[in-house]
Amino acid sequence: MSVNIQDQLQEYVEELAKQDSIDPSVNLFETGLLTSVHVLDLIAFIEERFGIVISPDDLSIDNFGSIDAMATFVEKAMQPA
Amino acid sequence: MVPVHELLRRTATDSPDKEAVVCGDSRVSYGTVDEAATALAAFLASRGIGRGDRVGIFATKSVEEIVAIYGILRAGAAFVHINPQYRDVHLRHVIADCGIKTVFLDGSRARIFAGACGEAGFSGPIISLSDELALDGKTFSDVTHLTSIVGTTPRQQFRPTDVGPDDLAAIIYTSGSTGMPKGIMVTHRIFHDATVASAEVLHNVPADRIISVTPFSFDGALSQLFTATLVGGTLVQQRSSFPKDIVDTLLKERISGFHAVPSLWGVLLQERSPFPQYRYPHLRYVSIIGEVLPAKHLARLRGLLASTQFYLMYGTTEAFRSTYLPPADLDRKPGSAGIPFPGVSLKVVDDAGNQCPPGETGTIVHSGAFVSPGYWNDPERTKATFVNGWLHTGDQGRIDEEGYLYYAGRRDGLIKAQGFRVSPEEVETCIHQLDAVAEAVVIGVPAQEIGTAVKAIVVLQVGANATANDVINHCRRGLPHYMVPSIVEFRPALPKTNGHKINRAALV
Repeated sequence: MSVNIQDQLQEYVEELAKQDSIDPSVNLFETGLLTSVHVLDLIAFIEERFGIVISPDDLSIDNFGSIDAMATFVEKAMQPA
Repeated sequence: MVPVHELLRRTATDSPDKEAVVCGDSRVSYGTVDEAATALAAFLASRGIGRGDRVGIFATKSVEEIVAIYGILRAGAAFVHINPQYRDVHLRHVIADCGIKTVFLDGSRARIFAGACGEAGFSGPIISLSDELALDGKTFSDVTHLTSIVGTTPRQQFRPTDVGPDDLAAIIYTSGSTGMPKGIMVTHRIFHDATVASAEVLHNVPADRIISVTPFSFDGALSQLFTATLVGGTLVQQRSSFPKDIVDTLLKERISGFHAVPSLWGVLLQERSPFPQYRYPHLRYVSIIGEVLPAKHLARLRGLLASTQFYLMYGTTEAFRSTYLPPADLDRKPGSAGIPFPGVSLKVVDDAGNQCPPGETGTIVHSGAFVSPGYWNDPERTKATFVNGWLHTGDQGRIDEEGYLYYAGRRDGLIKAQGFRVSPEEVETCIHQLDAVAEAVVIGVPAQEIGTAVKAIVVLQVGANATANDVINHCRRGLPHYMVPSIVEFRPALPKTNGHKINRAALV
């Protein structure tokens, strides 16, 4: 399951950034691969694809800065409370 | 006139232990910034870099980029902070246009720089602002680390280069309505005068803690930095522009001053943002410049920030700051950008250059304080824009009987989106690279949260196919993000004027 989440995020982010083989640990925003205007697209994708609701207080670079961080966040959000 | 790097020295002498800059977990004092800037200036001087030289900075928010700015100035050279969103073409253009031979680079921009300039043969010194630079195997022969410069350069004997008020301090690149970004020259006098005037208008004090979200490639960000230095306040560098992260910084760092373009306020007020959920008792003032803040956003912000003063401003990089609306006039003069800054003369003229009567719309012109000596390396454009000491802004506006300015948009098709200047021609050129495209025109249209959106209207070649996504994706590869159209409309033809030029006015 977790591999699947990571792969789907990888594919989407590469599509968004128009770049292949992005290092999943790299900070997408500090390296300029993505910018803050991509954030709303990212959120819409994650909510729709994984069926989770992202609260405003989770909208930080710690959760969305890299593909690895997003995968960790999504996995945690998908676990039954 | 005291150059801004001397203002740093004064503040560092008066209060060496005062917190000067915060970035994430880093906190540095005025004494530390001042000493590091001197070491850097001594190093640059030892490399023969001084008065008249242009030194590049390609970096994201950090403490180190501030040391770089002050170190370059103290060496007598001019800094060129390159928009961190620039990619290949724009980056190479700036470096070649103003002849940058030395560049400060941080880790986050190393790969982009190596890709753009590796093959182009950049051979000058690179000074790394980070511990590591991933230059993708490209060979740059001369790389020095800022930490080692600061640690090892003797600075006792260094005497700052004397600079005059009219010496070049910086070149700021912005997009024009045509062609590639152009360099606006800024002198030491302009930085000094604008810093003093801004601090006066905003009533800045040593207790101020100012958040800096915008890159230093924009004059507004530089104004905040220098104002903080002048009064001995603290500048808090904000790396992430995620709403939650900005909110955290506002609260944790007890931010008292916040300067932002309207689109950033749009992001902070959108439904996903936690901004409205919190209170900000420390936020003394907010200043807004760059484009018009939609009235509904201003009303909502004022409701949320009941004890905060709002300063709406108008200005162009060619003249730094033109007007501000005193907070007391906010309700009396809704929609106004206010009155001229101290030392500035402002008027509105018709096409013949005659002053318009109050209430009539014309071109906004500015003289007096803060006027740039012109565009770098472009005497023709300088002559056309700076006429007898008056800067012709290209912006439309009107001035009422009491002297209050009302901004009425651009004259030449230049779009201001998310606070950035977007040249329609540059975007159109990019779209035209697609084989399927016969004609393309790019305009600005009003948009809900971001103020102005970039819209492309495209006519396809007969029999060709392309989707809106094809156009957008193509633009994303070659243009900074704020230039990428968010709306693409396909039409069978475009309206033309008699001269067969595309009639932009008929498109809006």
